[in-house]
Amino acid sequence: MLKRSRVLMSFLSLLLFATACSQDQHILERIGYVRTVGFDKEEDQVRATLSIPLIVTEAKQTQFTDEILTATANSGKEARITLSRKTSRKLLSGQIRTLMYSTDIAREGLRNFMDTLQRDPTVSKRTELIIVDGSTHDILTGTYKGHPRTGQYIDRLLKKEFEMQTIPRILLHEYFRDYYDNGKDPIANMIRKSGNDLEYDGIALFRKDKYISRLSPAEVFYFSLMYHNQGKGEFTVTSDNPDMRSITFDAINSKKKIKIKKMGDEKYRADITIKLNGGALEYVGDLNLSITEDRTKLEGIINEYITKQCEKVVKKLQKNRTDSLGIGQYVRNKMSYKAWTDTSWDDMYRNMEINVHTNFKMKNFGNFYD
Amino acid sequence: MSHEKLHRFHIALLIFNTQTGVVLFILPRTVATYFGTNGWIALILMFIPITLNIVLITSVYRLGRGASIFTILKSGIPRFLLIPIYLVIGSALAMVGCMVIKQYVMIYQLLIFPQTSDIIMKLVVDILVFLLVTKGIYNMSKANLFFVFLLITMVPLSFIFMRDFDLTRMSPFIFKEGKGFAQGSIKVFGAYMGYELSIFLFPYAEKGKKWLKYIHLGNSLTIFIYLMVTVICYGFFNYRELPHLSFPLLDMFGYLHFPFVERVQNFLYSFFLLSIIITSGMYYWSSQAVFTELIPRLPWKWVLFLVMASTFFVSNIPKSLIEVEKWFGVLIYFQLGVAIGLPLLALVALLVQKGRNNHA
Repeated sequence: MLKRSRVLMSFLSLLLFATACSQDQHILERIGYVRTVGFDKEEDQVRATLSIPLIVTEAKQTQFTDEILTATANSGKEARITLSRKTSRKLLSGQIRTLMYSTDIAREGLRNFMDTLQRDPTVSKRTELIIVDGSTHDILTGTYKGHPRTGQYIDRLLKKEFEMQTIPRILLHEYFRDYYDNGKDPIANMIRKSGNDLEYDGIALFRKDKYISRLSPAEVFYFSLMYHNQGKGEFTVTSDNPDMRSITFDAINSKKKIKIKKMGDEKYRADITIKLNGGALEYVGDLNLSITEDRTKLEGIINEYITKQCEKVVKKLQKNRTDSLGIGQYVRNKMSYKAWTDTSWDDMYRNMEINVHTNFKMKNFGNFYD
Repeated sequence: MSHEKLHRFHIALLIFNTQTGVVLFILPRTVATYFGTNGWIALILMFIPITLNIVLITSVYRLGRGASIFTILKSGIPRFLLIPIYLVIGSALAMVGCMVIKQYVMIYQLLIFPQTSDIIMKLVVDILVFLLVTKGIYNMSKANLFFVFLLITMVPLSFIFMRDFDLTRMSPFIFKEGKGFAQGSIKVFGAYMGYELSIFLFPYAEKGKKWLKYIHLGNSLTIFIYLMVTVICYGFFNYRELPHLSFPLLDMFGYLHFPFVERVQNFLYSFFLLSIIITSGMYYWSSQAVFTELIPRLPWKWVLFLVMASTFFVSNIPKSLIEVEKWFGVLIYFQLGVAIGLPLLALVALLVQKGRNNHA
């Protein structure tokens, strides 16, 4: 018994010894947990802006502020070292929620920045990736009256949109995954400053790691329908047709299917089928929704409309040679390995026939009976 | 040592937990690097030679009528031949046990305590392993039951990843863009290693031949877990991304998100200490068994202490994770020696013994 307790004691003392020696202790008050990072291009260099949320308690007053640090350097990590000379806190990247890049930087390719993001184990793969058409510095240094603190504002704005499934959930993981895939190009969400607020600004389209073009917020809904299956969300369709001036649906449910058909020699056709249903919330038009024939007619109009809009988006993607929907994956899976490595997917994609089919069903027409 | 016998189910779990360990974190990368597209099929292919290997080991038990491997060897092979063999096997097994901890600790350092000395962390784990192994094999197997139970609770987590799993990412190609089939096969073989230690369990197992099937059960449990993790990784990431991820499973755990806790991967990784302790403990225990055979006069706990102390010093030689992986690349051949060479040698010994008996 004595022997056993002696072993235990020595073990415990060693453990204490080991913890006391540890260089890895972090004292919360002395740490600057970086929440948001922005990168802009400045001549040949990179300007990094960090935003660190601070809670300063002095006497009985607690103050919530953001500490903003800016430095210009050759690389992201170099900037961090320069930045850490400017702050009284130890900078840690374990709590980074949002990474922002300006389009100037993204146009040259994000590959140089990706290295550190993949290497550093403290950087979470759940970090949001955002492209800003303009200056990330302006966004981070701006004050938005009546909104949460900037870093939190951006983070929550996106999280809410992800949750509502109105925009594709693009975190670092999704970006890297699609970057490495040879049948898909990555995308990222965009935000911009609009007066006293921040606003969702559409989707940035990449070819490999280079920013090429963007989809406007109006196009994002149609893109999302083809990009992923949706279990919630709402949408509004407006047109000049007197039968359907405007209609809003909620509780939508969508399923996409991509089918590839071989059309003779080295020619392929893609068919994107979208199955969509939702409940009507608001309707402005000449039809009576409680009459079955009218409803079917309206569904037809909506089908046509959505198909047209989706095809427009697809055309835009093809024109930019950005395979953001991952059509390449499906084509690849239809081919033999040799055929796939022999084809230049880039050229094939640009000239490929891609059709969209929509199958919309109105689940209900709300609380109101015409 | 204890007079109780190992229950067959305990043996299955012991084999399973010896096989799995840090390798689970690396396996998807290894498979994607060497086999390329749909490399997980290689896991199934390698399962066949390993099953045959287990059959070879169990045939020693059957033919030797349950005698300990050392008794069998002694009866047919002169001692001066056995001494160098024991020395090599004993040292190799101890080194495997040691490097398993080293690797675990170095990843731990990378993830959580980048500034803390890995030597101290390894010492702490070493003490835990020492305390466990000195309790004897029977108590180890009982503790293992509890450990496996805790580890298995992680399996339902895989359902969470199903949402982000996509078959289209896996591609229909088989074994394309891989770096080398032969090298990969050895690595995958290494991932299954651990079952070879069942040869040292003969005198501790329950009587009869029923328990031999449970070695296969343990091995099947391993392939189930390996396949599950690897297939999910192939659909969660893709075959082109996997070779770039040092620890795909950790990256996947990192994607987990609970409202009450961030960074679960660090917590889950710490959980694997339970598996490491058993893996390393089993190798040290086997090494101790070999050395005790060499020096029967020394108490076995002292042998264990000396073995662990000496490997502790050797473990300070490799300074990086890559070096540790290289060491494993060498040690695997010794493990293969134990897995295939030792039972073959035992069969030779049995034949010699039989021949001698026939003459007499």
